[in-house]
Amino acid sequence: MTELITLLTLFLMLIITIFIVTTKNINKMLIMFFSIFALTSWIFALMGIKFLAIVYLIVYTGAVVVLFVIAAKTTQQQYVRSYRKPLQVLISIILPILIFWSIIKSENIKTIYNKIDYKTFSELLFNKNFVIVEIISLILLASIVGAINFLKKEN
Amino acid sequence: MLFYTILALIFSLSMINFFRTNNLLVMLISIELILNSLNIILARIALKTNSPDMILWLIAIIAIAAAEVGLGLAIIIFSYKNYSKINSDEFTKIKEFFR
Repeated sequence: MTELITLLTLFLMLIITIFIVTTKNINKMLIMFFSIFALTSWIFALMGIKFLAIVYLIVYTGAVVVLFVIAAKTTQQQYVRSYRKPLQVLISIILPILIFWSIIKSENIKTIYNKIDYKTFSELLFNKNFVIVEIISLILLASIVGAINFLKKEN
Repeated sequence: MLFYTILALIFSLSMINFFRTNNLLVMLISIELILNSLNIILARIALKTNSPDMILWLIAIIAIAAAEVGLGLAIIIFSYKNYSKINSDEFTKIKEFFR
């Protein structure tokens, strides 16, 4: 049952992505973008990774999409133009096929569908892989400093 | 199988969207969608193979995506402030500006 709901949610995500690709209105695109992340959060919750679902809701729907809306409104974007680029379209069809085919081939289907709890998460983040988490936080800090520095320069 | 096929389609459509526009905002949205589909796959594989370590890399992807959005939107606003456009064609001008 959970598998079926997950598949239906993914199918809905696919329809929304098609809408994002075809629409020219950037406001509609951003609303759909928001719903994609909300649905992804729902998928994670269905998978049993509740921690990640909450992180997704906070980081993406709460921060990233709001930033996009602010940027779209600041730059007064309303409509976007698109161009025909056959070679790039061909690459974007072939590359995912190769990547996903290798994923499907390497997947061990017989393994059990396990749930990851909060205890495992906290041990993973703050005990076992503490250095990696610190490096990630430094990358985030560097990006914030970089963004501020970038906007400080004047023509 | 169907799970990965739908995600591959989302990945592919996002890549097509990335290539067919020169609007930086739409390009960033496409990159986010690509990373989103990869995140779902990584979570699925982590659960199927019973390896919670993979979730750490998922969190790393989320953090790097957030950092990329911060920098990307700074570039967009910078481009708009100085050239009144947010097209990728303006990148050569931005390069000249920092020389």
